[in-house]
Amino acid sequence: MSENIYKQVIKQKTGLVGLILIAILLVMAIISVIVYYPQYYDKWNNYAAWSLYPSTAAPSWISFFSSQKLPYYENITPSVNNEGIFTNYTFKYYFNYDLPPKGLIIKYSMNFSSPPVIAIILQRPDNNDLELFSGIASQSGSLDVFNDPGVISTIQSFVSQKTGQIPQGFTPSYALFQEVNNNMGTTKGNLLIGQYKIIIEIAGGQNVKVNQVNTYVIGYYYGLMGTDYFGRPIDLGLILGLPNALLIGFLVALFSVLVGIVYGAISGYVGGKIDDIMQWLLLLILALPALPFLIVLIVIYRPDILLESLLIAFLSWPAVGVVARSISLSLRSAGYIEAARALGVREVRIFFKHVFPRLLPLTMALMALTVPAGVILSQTLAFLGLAPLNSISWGLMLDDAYNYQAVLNGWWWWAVFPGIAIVFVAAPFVLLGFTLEKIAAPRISERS
Amino acid sequence: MGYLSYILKKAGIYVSVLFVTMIILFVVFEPVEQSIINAGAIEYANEALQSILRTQKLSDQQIQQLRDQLIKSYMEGTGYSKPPYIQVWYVLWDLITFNLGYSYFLQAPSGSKLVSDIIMSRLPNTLLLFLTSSILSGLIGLWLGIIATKRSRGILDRSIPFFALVHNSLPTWWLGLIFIFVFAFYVRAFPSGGITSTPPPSSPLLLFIDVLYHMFLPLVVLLLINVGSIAYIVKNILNEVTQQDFVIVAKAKGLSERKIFYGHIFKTASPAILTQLILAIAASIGGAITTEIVFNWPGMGLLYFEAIEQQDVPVIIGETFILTLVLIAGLFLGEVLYGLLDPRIRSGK
Repeated sequence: MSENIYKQVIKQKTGLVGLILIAILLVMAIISVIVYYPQYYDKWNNYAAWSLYPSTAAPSWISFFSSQKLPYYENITPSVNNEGIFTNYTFKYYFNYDLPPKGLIIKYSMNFSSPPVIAIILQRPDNNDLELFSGIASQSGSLDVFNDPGVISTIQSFVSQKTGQIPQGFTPSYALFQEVNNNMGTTKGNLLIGQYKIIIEIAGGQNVKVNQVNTYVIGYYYGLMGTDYFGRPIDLGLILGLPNALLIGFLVALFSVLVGIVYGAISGYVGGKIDDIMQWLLLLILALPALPFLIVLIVIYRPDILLESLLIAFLSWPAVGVVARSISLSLRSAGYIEAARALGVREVRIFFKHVFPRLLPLTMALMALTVPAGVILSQTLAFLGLAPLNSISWGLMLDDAYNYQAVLNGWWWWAVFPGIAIVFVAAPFVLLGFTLEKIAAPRISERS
Repeated sequence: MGYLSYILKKAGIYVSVLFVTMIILFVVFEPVEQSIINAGAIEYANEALQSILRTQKLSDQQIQQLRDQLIKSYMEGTGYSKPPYIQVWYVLWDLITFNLGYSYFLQAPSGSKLVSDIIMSRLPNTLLLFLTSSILSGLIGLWLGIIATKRSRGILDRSIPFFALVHNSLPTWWLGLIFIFVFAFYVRAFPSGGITSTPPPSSPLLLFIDVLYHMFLPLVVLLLINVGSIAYIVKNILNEVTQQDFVIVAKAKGLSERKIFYGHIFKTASPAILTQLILAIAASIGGAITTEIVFNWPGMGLLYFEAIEQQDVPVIIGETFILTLVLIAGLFLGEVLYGLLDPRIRSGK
């Protein structure tokens, strides 16, 4: 029978599309757990770990539609050469934009027996050199070029030496990327287009082992979907949040449909006083507003993912029970069941042999339709600030987006993509559910 | 079964639902009970002392004595020292009389920290938005469902499933965020949130217009999400009735299309439609109150958000009780109407 249903589903366009999309989602979730979880899961909620990423950067492809040319986020790979005891790392950055980058951060880490001397030099296209830092290196260090007080005073003295003044509203980041003239360091200055070089000289010889030297250009654009306020890439968040969204959806569907079908089938088939009592109990839970009760339960009990799914299922199964009961009720007096009864087949056997299998298509339809309901409810709870501890969910990202007023600041990507992700998880199941519903054709007008 | 006995039976069911709801709240309440009662007692004593000190002067020792007395009397009023099976009656009585205790932090605009005052300052705003959107989406959904059934295989008939899909896969509040971006940030045609301008206009007519202007975006969002699914339900029920034998008989008798549709099909389907409509509206309450949050609409949903942020548990529990009460009242009202529509009940068979 189930094979039959499968064939009927893929015959319909909506069912086929739904099934294919669900398969894609499952593959992506598995990739997320295997590839992305080990590297990023713990890092995601540690805001400090994202300081090298640009805050609220727009998606890269937006630059095609923008009249202004703004710098991208770049992690530049250096070229290395050794001269005696000197090791030089040279970072080349071709600057051709309408604004300087939002930040410039240099990071290094090394092992040594005695600390070497390190010098960081910026070479401008007009052949002026600025020594951003020189001194004894530590095991690991970073230089935030636009905010480091030492660098700022270096830039200031460079400007006053070249132009004889420090203009009003002086901004170091502008000065670094502008031509030498009286407006240097203000928004009125002319940008200096060309090849910039950052050279890091380490004078240590054999006893220094350099692990990593990086230069990060903090730009206005990042990746496919931009970043949030903390610098976290939105696309990474979508990948990391997928398994969580699917898991809650599946668990809710599994629990609530199993309970609802069994309960409704028994209630409808047995009938009489027992049916009345079971109906009363069902109505009791049906009448509870799901979201408010979940809020109370979660605020007080702080559940993990499994318990949260159970709680959501506890409040969603009655809807399944109502439909299951009405079908079971109509089967009770069906001819072939009367016949079985007349032949003296035991009621329990009739129930499992004839009534229950008839509910299978419906079970599958309701299962598919309960997944999106569970997904949306759990994401709504996360949006309210009630996600399970240490979980990554799109609702939580949207909660952040709301708290930081993303849409009113124009950071639309932060609010748009996580929501689209919710739709992309929910919609295939709805499509599949509608198709299955048509096949199972429960008569919804039949009143319980 | 006559209409009256039908109503009585349903009333019995819903009263028992309410009763069990309160029991559940009592059980859920257990882990946080002590801290809520303590905080409430201190708040109560402080408020009472303030009003007493306004009229008479007391020494420090007297104040301390009076405070202890007030705290003790508040605590006894909650029945906290009694065994649970007696205490539950105290809690039920408090819930029924809307004596919902004191909040930890949140205040009503009047400055009161009584949970019932806080809720009463928010509930009308929620009812305004929720009832308006429910009535409108019910009527529009019904209308679209009827048109789609009459013009089977038309554009409307074929696009309704799409809107039902939207209903089932979009979080309402997210659509709200998108609407704010498009119509409040980008186009700047509507306010991004709130219920009135600050300061609100003084004349009643302007105030009314101002509220409508602020309500427009959240209302459109709620309608877009809910109308499609209601039309889908209505259409499915009507289609099913259309295929039944008595409709064919009516056609064979040569009755006019109009008479067949309204006199036979719609009349037969209306009780089922009503039931489904009420269930759909009840189910949309979660989406509606969370939409308040993104639109900064000062109702129950926004209150939840604020209470969760500040961990104000008494407010959360009180709100849940009141919302359940509203929902149960709504469902009961639906049953009353159902009884009027269903001829089997009306005629007392």
